[in-house]
Amino acid sequence: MTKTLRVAAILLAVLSMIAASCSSSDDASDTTTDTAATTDEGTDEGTDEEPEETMEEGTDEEPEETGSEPAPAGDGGLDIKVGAILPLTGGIAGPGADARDSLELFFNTFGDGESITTPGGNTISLVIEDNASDPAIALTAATKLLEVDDVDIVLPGILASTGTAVGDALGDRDDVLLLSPSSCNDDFTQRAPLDGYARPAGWACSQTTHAFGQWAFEEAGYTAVATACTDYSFGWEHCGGFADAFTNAGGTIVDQIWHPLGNADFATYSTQMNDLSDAEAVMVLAVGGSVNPMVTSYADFGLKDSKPMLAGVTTMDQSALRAMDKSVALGTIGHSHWAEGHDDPNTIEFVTAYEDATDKIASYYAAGYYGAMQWIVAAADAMDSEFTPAAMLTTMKDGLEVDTAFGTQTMNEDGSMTMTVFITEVQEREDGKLWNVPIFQYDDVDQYFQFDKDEYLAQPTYTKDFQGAGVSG
Amino acid sequence: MSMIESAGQARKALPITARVQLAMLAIALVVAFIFPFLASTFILRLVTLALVSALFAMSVDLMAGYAGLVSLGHAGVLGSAMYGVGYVASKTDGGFALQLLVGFAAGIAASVIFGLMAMRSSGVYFILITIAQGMIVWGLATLLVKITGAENGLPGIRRPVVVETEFRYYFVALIVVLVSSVGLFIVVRSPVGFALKGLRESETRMRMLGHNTTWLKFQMFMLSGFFATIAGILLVYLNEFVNPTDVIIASSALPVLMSILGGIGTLIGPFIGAFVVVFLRNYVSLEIDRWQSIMGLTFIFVVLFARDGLIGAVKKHWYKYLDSKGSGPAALAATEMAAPPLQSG
Repeated sequence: MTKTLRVAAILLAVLSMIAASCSSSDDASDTTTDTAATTDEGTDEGTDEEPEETMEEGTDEEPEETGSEPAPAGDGGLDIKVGAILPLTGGIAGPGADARDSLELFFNTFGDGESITTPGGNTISLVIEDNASDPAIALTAATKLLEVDDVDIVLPGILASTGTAVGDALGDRDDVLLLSPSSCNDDFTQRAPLDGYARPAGWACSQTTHAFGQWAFEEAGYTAVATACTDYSFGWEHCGGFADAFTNAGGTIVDQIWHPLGNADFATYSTQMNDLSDAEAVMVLAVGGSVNPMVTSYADFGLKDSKPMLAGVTTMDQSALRAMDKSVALGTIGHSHWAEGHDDPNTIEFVTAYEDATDKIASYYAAGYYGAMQWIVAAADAMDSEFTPAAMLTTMKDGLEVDTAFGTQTMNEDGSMTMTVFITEVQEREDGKLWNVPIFQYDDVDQYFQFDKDEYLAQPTYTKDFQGAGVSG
Repeated sequence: MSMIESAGQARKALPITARVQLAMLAIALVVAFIFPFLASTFILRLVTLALVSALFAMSVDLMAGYAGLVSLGHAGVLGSAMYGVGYVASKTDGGFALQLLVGFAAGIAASVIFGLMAMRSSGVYFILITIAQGMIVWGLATLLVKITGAENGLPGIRRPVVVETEFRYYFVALIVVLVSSVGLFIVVRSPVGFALKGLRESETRMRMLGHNTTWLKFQMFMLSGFFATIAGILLVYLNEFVNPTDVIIASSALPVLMSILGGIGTLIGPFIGAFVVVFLRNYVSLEIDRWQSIMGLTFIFVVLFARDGLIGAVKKHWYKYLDSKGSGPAALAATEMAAPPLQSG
């Protein structure tokens, strides 16, 4: 090899190792021991208790309204296999680990770690595959789940890209049901709905910000707000929901700043926000590894006091909050369909169990995958026919009320959730850990909320160029 | 023993090696055409992916291995072809022929632009320019939402009905990759191929000999881009999806890794490297969480202990074996040294 090639080879080798160690760092530091803890718990419970008894202990709700109680129509005997394609390595391995931990918690708590028997007598088993945060690998994993593992239900991942890839590949098949508790592309349940697809315990990207935008104007009293969101489809849809709802309520979006996905230096963006003299507050969205640098920069530039931050779902999610400096995060107003500090008994039960098993407070990713399993159990027990993906989807949409980690949820005819959206504040728990506590809530929020469904669907999907009819470009 | 006799013996070693190579090639071809009837869809998909990756790696190796110019932005060419096909399939009513045409045009156009931008550079500057080229394509893929779908990508791409199953598409990919490999084989043995090797050894000397090295690099980009475009079209129909992940810098680095792993500067090396990497990446990851560490360690091991790649290591041991039998290159060279000089007059 020539000298240049050798230099390039060694450079690539080092980069490869750095990438490997970075992508697994959260995983390695957090979940190596967490998994052991989870397994220990699972072993204890799996051997000491009957699965059915454990599930029944978990709830006091009416049988037809819960996934944790026997449903009268269910005669049992269904054998359902669930495959989860999670980003256990790659750019968002941290949230992927949260999702995996919650699935392991569910199957360890109610079964033997690999399968459970529901109160209705149905068997549900689980296979987890890594998609490395890469759609191409997610597609290969999906092929393996369908052809080798013969799964009936696929949970297609966290990122919009992996969700879209798997949704497109499997969406037209009638032998598999796609259930997405995290990936939130608006149009999958709006303008371009997929057959055999639903979001149990999930959300549409602009669903929560519709409520947040209305709250910012009507309850918080802001009239002029700027936004600073991540420059890709999730950012456009999440930010667009806020801007559209805020201007629809009567407010003005004075400016919109877009920062690149994966950015780690926010000094220039904080400077831009500092110059926005007309803005009374800034709605901020960052994802993954960008969250901490952005929130820290926002505080370091003194913006936290002069222009209060209105945080997007991922900005103050527990997955980021765990590693955040207390002085930076404390008191920040955010919003989400998940609030780990909510005093709902279902939420308390899940947060306690998750923390006991993993030593982490549950993030929305963890709650979402746990909630999706609660939906699957409830629907399996409520089914009065042989399992088919279409029959389970119909059962889910047919007025089923499920008590999930989020609280009681129902599903619309379009496969999206009607749920509570919380306005939250970052507070300090007695043990010094930070968490999101609800200070206001909107109940029964569907993906159109204050908008007329037909008019809403007639307007374009939120992009950087369209952030709502009331937002001037 | 005369010089002529020892030279004749030296030639004997080559037929043995060539016969082994031909036998292995024949076995590989037989296996390639038979195993789909025995393999699961999952394995078929992985092998198809490895074949397509091998073609992409060979196209990169044409530059990195033969010309000594490492491109870390070649996924930009591959991705341009993928987006070309994807745009027509996803956003228009264009049929398969139009999809192929636009995909091919996009890949070749990217090759022309990349070539024009980088043909006057070499060494580290060439690497930096190609990284920038890849980043430009990534930036466009991320920001041109109406054309590329940004992070959501372009869904709705479908193979023609006649090859829609993984089984049939495998044969399409196999035949296209085999024909392309023959094409690459011809290229590296053509005057252009030898000129590229000259470029690798000393660009200054090539210029002194009268070669227009700038034009040579542009030709190299076009040839490499042509095969990368074919790989892109095969890949987009394999995945039936394209998004910015296909054009990130890691997607450009991967074929370089494949080439170095298998044996850079050979055509079979990237082929073998692609199979190793694809199976490590996709198959081992299904069993082991730390698959990236295993891939990184494998790569470092090869760089440290088998600098000519897996093929180089195999060749080294094969020649050692032949030497032990007295018909290897070293044994024959020793015989040649011991032979009396030819009598003149």
